Amino acid sequence: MNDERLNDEHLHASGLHVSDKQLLLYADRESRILLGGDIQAHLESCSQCRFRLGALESTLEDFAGAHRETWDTELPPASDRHALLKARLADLAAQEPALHLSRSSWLAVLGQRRAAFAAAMIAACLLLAIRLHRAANFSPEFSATLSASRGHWDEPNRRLTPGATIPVTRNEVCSEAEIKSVPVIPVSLATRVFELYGVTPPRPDAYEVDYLITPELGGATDIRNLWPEPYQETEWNAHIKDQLEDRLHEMVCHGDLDLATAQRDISADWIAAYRKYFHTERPLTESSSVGRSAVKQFHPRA
Amino acid sequence: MAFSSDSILSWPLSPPAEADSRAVSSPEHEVVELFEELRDRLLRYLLALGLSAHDGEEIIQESFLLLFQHLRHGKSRENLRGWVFRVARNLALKQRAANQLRQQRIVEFNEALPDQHAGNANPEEQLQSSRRQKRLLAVVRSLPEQDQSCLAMRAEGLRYREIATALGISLGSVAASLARSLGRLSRADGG
Repeated sequence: MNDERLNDEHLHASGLHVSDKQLLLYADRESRILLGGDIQAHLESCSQCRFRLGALESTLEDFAGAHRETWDTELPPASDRHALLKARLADLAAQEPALHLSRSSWLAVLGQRRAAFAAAMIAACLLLAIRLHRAANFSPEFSATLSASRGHWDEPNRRLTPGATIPVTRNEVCSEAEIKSVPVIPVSLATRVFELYGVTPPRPDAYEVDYLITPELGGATDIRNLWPEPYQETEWNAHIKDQLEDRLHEMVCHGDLDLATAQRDISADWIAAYRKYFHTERPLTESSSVGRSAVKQFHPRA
Repeated sequence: MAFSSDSILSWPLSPPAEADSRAVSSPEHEVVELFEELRDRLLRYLLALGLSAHDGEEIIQESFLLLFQHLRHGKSRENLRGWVFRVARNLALKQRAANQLRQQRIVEFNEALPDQHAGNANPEEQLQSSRRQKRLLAVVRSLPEQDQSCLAMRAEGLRYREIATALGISLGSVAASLARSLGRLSRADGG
């Protein structure tokens, strides 16, 4: 922040003004502690910057007004959704007991049952050590799981997520109605997927619970077909996989690839499939894949 | 001339994100309270992203159920508004990619816009206002998605640090994005 610190005398001596970015931060009270005094002093004596700040806020207000006015007309009443959320919260609360104890509760538990807790911890450590030892020697799959648990899963664990499909034909996956009906995964199922991969609590801000075989290719909403895929932590992320899903769907619907092959390739190793169908070793940028979005507008042939 | 710093803060600022006063209530109550505060704002943002109202409502429901679990696991209550916007945005981008409804929404919006200004202004004023709004929103649609989101979240009253959390970028990047976008809006508006 020091390099951004403004010196009012210097500003005037050099003829500099406050940048738009700094003005906006100032107006949002974000920079008042470090920069506020200097900016305020500068604004008091600089009509040009005061004018610019007023113009910035005016433009923001105008846009906000246009934004709200445009979309307010489409907002359905909130009352039924409010009731629905309450019901779903109650249902969720009933399904699983609270997993978290407050700090004071933990202290109370530790005070009363410290010995039992310590013993349980030792047992858990021993069990984990045994499993690690076995995994390192006998189970490549489990080793892969452990490896992934230290980072992220650009590819799913085959044992947990082999892929699952529903009986579906090419015409069905290529019909317009089918294209528009990709479901949002229920939160209860997504939570189980996170738990299966050891992500507790769930991290929906960092991972998409994604279909290994997308529903657009006949993938099932089944725990065997879902895994937590990172949004950003790796270059082979959820957005890149979306490109592959679009490409395979396009090829299937144009008759360039049969549905079973598409399902098999994407479930066996989606990164290898991406390299194969995009003819590239590295993921393409999102902007370079824009043209492929036309696949969603494909109409079935017959 | 004495300059009052408060006179420039005409923007509808929300309460400080880092001082969340809901920490003492139950997770259910906390989630419902936040839903009541944010539902319309989130839905407008999701509509602006190109989702249908139905998809937007579903994503908002899922986002608040995830928030409930987040809170039940005792995770941080800091900047919950930014957290909810981030989760909803992630779900929305996925849904949007699946639906490809955006172009359709834009067409619908353009067709519907002139009818949305039936206030006290006379027809000529309404037409001018409608044209200006269309011009502003057309400029916004030409911006990168992240810049559009910054503007829309700001329009919904989010603080910069909340927007930064929602988009996973720095505070400075939010301000730079807004400065860039406002410059383009201003130029398009003849400023």
